[in-house]
Amino acid sequence: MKENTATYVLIALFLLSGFIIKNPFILNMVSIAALAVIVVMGLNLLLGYAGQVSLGHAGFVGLGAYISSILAIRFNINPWLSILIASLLTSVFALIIGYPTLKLKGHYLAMATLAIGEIIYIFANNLVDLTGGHQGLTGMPMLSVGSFVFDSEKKFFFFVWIVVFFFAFISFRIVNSHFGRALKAIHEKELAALSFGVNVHLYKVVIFSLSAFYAAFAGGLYAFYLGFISPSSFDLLKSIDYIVMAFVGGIDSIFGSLIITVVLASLPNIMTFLQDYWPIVNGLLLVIAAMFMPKGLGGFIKWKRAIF
Amino acid sequence: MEKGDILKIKNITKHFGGVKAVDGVSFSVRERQIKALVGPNGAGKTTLFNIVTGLYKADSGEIIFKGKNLFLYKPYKLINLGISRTFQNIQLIDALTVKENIALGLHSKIKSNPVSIILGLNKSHERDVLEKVERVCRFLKIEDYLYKYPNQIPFGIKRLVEIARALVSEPELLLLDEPAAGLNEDETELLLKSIFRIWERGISILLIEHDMEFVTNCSHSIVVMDSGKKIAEGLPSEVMNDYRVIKAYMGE
Ligand SMILES: Nc1ncnc2c1ncn2[C@@H]1O[C@H](COP(=O)(O)OP(=O)(O)O)[C@@H](O)[C@H]1O
Ligand SMILES: [Mg+2]
Repeated sequence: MKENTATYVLIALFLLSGFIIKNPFILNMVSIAALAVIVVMGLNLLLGYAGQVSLGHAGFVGLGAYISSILAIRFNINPWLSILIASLLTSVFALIIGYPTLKLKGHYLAMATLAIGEIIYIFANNLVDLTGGHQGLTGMPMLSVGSFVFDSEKKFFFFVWIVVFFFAFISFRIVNSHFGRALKAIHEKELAALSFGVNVHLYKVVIFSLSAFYAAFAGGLYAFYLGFISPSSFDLLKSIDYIVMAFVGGIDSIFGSLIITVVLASLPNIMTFLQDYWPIVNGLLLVIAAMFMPKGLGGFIKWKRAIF
Repeated sequence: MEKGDILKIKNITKHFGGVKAVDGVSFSVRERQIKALVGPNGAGKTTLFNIVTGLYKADSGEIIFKGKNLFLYKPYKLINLGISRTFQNIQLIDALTVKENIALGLHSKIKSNPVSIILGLNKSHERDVLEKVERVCRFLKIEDYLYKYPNQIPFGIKRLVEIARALVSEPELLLLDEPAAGLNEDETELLLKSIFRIWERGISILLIEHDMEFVTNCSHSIVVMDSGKKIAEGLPSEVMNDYRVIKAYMGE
């Protein structure tokens, strides 16, 4: 089976599981995990295809969450439109900061993106009038289509997996086009890419911006679903969570990242005793993955020829 | 510009720290000519290629391609002008199949943006790409390897895939950096034939090689470099008899 087919099947299975699962706690947990899946898919494009690292992706999730919430609360803009505007603004923001940042390499890029994430976090904490500061922001209207309101865990669960499908679809379309070929070339042999007409810097910036769009869109949905956001949901530790999910799943494997992200995003909620130690668990997972499956779960599966 | 010169390299100099990798080198490639650039290891041949293709910036000098100053173009624009190359240390993308690697050579010819890709409007482009890739593979007789990955094919085939990737955009000038390095006798023979067939299609070729015999078999004109300097230029027979050339090779 091809990776895209396998991924669509997996998403369909998650969606269908909504008919079986009755427990709202689990539905809620997997919905939040599905939002993380969207963020990690964006990170896959950046990390696994363009080979660029971002330690500030939680910041983009936060931008999407805060901008869309503020638009809806302060300016009475329709929630859907708010999410779309917030995602577009965030990707334009990423375009502008990505332009100088993506000229940096390796550690410097990691540092720069880390700083961007921190700056967004600081703004969320300190612009109290707009964001509610560390107390958080609430009062977002519920998402609805006509008279149908997404007012239960179950309804949102179905909806969010459909959104995941759309983002997976976009990812595969891009990955399997000349754009994707160029990204893989940039990842491995940047000078060869340049010699065959790839505007390397432009591609990096565009993919950075696109991955920020994924993150912000997930952030917007998160805000309207929970009806409450605070800066701690978008801090450095969250950025690292996303990185670990992408790495353990396989940076260039959308399928592997999907599975691992659902597992890793759910684990601290199921094993609550782990919660305080999560950063340590995360670190261990990364080390174990690096030792035993350096290409992540996706690479492991490909190697075993089980699916692909 | 002298009539008939497709590429003019004028007085190029390039330092790396204290090393003068290329030192005031000038020569031209005529249209429809196979020109060889030879010299011992470290002579500065690859550096000169990298300057022509914009990967390195020269300290001084000029490079004129079909009357255009190449230093005014971004490196990723050069392929559109009709210059394409291969690499001495093979630069195939491991994550791409042979087909996709060769398709990368057509990158600059594909005009579709992310939005049209997401909407699936690039399908006809992709069909054209596949057709061109298949054609060049048949031409180089590597069509059996289309769906293999680079780590699944023999070394000699990798060299041909590199050439296919450079050729698929139908360049006017092809730069080959040691295409015969690491090939066995049969593969070298096959390569030689391929180079002639490329030339028959009207493509000018500048070829780096340090095996003198290979070069005398396939080129119309030879430039010899040693320690960054051009030390000889002429017909293969002339250059082979040149005292300094022999000394540069023996001295190694
Ligand atoms: N990127 C680089 N940085 C530093 N020195 C380099 C670089 N590329 C080439 N050189 C040096 O320039 C000289 C010429 O190298 P090169 O052009 O690769 O020679 P050739 O291709 O003729 O074997 C060598 O001394 C080499 O060490
Ligand atoms: Mg060389």
